Amino acid sequence: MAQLNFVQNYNFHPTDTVGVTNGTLLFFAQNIEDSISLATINLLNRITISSLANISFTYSLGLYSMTGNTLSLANSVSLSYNSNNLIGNETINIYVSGTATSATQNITPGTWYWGIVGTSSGSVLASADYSFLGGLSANPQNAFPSFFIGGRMTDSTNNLPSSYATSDLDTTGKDAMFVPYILLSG
Amino acid sequence: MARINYFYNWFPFQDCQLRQFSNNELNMHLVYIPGSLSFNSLVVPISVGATINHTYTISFGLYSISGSTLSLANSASYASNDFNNSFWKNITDISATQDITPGNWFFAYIITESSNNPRVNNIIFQNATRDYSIDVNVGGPFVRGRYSVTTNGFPASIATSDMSKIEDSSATNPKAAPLLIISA
Repeated sequence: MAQLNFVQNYNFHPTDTVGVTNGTLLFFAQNIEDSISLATINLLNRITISSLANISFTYSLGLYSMTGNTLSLANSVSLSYNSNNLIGNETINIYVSGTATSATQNITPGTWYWGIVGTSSGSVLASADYSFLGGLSANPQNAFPSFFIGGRMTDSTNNLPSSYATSDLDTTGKDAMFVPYILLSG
Repeated sequence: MARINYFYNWFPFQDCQLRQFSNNELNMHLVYIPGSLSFNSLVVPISVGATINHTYTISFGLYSISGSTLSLANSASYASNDFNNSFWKNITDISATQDITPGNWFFAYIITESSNNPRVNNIIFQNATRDYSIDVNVGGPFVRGRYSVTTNGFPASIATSDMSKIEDSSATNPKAAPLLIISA
């Protein structure tokens, strides 16, 4: 198999958004076509600020494999964004990136799953809205009826579980099935 | 890897609009080509307004990347003086015989026009809601951007440090790319 330098799940910037809720872990699938070294990871976010002077948020991003109906954590990385010079009433679109993976890994081709949970802080939490930029503009009202491709935990957590049963995940609605833009650079 | 008969750099066709690119500005973006593809032709949708002849050249470059160096692997161009026309242009004048291997490649695009009135329009992956600027650039290596100098031709090699990662929403927008279709 060839070695890739880059993997992204959208060729260009998507425009759908879903709000990031502290303590909610979202899983989404990605088919990785060839091997790639897990070196730099970028997520695309939109932040709308009403009246904050400084904000800070951190994502814990986990790479999971799946056997049967169980997701198993293979790697993880922390991505963070801090700013203390934002003015009120503005919207910014930013890449949030990270390189400090928990393990050196050359991702093999196949279907992998990302799990992501975020925590935010700042002088006035309620005055900033954080969103992932990605895809899914619809809001289906039934559980996803086929092979698992994503979902979200119903229990609140700030940590990535080492393993998780997909049967325990919520797969109803946009918030559960959203696919954020992610870019891997090897 | 299987062989494929075509590749286009974005989909779906309906999520697009016409946009003009700045004269002699080299924009480049990352693609992943999933199978082996014989590079026999390049199709570009073009729209030229007005009722007078307008001289222009559309140039396409295919770059590979190794480390921090982009290397020109192939190119294709079309020169004309169309006016008042919208059409698919099938460019078969490809600079080298090439069987494109699967993997990461970079599509580069330059348009050179004789005047600013009228202007050539290309179909791009962009509508009003997608026209947003990026305020914090991508971390890590270059994936999309604009060459630091104006040019009407493709350098044989480009250091990624000479490519700007700027993804603004101005008229010369490197994150907007024309629809480009390679076919066998």
